[in-house]
Amino acid sequence: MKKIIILSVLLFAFMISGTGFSQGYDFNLEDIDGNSVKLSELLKKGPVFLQFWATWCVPCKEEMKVLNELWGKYKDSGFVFVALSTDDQKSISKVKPYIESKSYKFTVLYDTDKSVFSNYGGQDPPFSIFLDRNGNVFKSYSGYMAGDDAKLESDINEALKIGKN
Amino acid sequence: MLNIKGAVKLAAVILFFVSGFIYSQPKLNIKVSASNILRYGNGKETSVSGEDSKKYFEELADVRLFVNDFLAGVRYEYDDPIEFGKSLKGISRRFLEFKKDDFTVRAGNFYEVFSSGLTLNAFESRPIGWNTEFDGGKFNYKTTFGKKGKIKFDGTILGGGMNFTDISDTSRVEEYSIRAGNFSVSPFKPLIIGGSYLYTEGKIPTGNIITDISAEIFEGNLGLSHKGFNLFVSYANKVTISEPNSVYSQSKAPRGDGAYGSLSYTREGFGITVDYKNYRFNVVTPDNRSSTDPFKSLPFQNAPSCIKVYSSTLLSRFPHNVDFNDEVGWQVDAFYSPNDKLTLNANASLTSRHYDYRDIDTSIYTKYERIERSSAFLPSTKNEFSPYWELFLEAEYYVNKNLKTKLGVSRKTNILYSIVDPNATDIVRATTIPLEVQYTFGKVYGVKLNAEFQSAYNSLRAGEKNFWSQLTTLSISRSPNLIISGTVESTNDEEDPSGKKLWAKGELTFKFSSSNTIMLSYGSERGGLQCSSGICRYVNPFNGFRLTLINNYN
Repeated sequence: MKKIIILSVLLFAFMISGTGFSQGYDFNLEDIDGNSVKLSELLKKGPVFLQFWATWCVPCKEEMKVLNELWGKYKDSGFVFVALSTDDQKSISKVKPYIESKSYKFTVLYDTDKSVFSNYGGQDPPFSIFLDRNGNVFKSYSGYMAGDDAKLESDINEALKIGKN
Repeated sequence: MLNIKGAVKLAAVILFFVSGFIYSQPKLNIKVSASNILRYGNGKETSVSGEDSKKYFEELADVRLFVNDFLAGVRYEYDDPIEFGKSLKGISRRFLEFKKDDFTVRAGNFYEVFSSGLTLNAFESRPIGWNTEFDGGKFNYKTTFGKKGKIKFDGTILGGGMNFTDISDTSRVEEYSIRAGNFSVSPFKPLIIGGSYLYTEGKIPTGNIITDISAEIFEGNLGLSHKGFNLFVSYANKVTISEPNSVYSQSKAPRGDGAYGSLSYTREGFGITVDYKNYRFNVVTPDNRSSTDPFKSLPFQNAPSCIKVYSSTLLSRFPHNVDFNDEVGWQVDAFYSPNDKLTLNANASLTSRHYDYRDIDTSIYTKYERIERSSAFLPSTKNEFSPYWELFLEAEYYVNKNLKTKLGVSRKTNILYSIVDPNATDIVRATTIPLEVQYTFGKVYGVKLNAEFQSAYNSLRAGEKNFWSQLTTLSISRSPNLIISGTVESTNDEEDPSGKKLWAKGELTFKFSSSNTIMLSYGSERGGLQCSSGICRYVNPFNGFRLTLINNYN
């Protein structure tokens, strides 16, 4: 068995050696209005900030308010903010009413089975992934604390510069 | 659960085939994502048997490899021992997924949700030790067709095994073999129709006796949206057939059903949702209610609880344990934001069992008979129906960019009726007032005060039945990497299970980077019921040291 393992690892290393490494994950989820949204389509606009949240998560909603303000400030520069709801069946019916009540206009997607959340290694919300316009993970964030808006704004400015022609 | 040898063999085979596929690819897109949680605790835990030392060590490492259209994932788990649940040492999750255009195929471990969860809602919640993970395969096809691609179709078929560990007795394991399918079609945007079917064969232990069952669930659902309105309804019917054994001398085939609906209305600045549930998967007389009943709602059926979920401590105390076999209720939840500074939230819910029962045996024995009622589709507030109701109001106000305040009030009543001795009925009433004030200064510094006051009544207290609890947490943070907090909880309850009246804990959170965090805490925690998706377990009071290390690499 050892031989099979060693052979497999060597074969794998050989196959991937010398090839260009780039981002390799796309998703297609439904938004709160029933439209299908593909990550690769969003990336055509610019760097994409994916915030995983839930209606019962207090720091998620604090972070969302800050991200909404930053999105308003930088969306014309190409910054894309997407909130992915990880609410399961018990609270999913409250997602749209909450978003509409706050008059938020950014894209909100349903990740009910948490497949995208877990593919990015999310453990508990708030959890965020910031992708540059090439689709590479520029940064990931766990948790949120007061004052993080300054750091987020600086990251947005940095991400907007990556891959810009 | 695979042993290490078996899992390594499987990983090697997967790697071998993936390598072959990679070689044939013109251009490689490779991405590796990894996450890790390490939890350690050392202290004393108070349980019914007294105070015992408590140590746990849990290590969970997840690695996912994305290669073009393939995704492979492995979880390595090392519990020595686990804090709660069944300790594992080895590969506890592995899967290989292929995704191309409209198709997704996955082999190995996975979770799945069908519609509202009446048929299937498999999930993991480590805090309560719940895990309904599949080991098998699933195939999903999602496409659009018709004129301008306006017709949408989404279908899934799956099959596999599931070993479910009972959270109230971790030595008790239910085994299932499941085949299921789900579809939804949207012929035009405002309408979605769907359905699901599940067939399972299971082995349900009751003591040392195992009952072999087979069960079928049919479900249909409908979604409609028009302007600001969204309607969703779902109905499921289940039949469970048991094989004769020493508990059931004859084969039985009882039926049960469940319905869930939600109606929401939204407009700019306002949103309201009304949820309704009517779960009757196993409506039986009080003396036949049992978590080991083979005819109960299956562990992978987890429909909406229609009860508000809180993240703060005292608001979460005295929760309601949802009985998916026999429960009817509704919930209304509304948000209103007249401006960007103020948000109001109101929530009301009422839930109860369907029927009251009477003893029709005139001898010393009891034989319960259901008292029929025409309004069994609605919950009752009478004690005999074990009702739970709650009213919650909250206002959040941003005084300015740096100062945020939040004030709420909750009133809840939870009744567990005792038909044997109505005087022994467990009645809990609690009024809770949570307050939060958060102030940010110097751009990166924050101070946060959380204060909760709770006045409670518990009918089962031998002495004073009214008591209060108070919890205060003060946190100081320096963005982006440091939080120091202290929590003090006190009560005048003479009969708290821990035998204490004061709990104090200090916590330090340090972020090495934006997604790598260490949390240290030392002190005492009161314990109590902890819930996830309406399922609850009692967490014992703990006094000691905890360490949590969370890492994420993308």
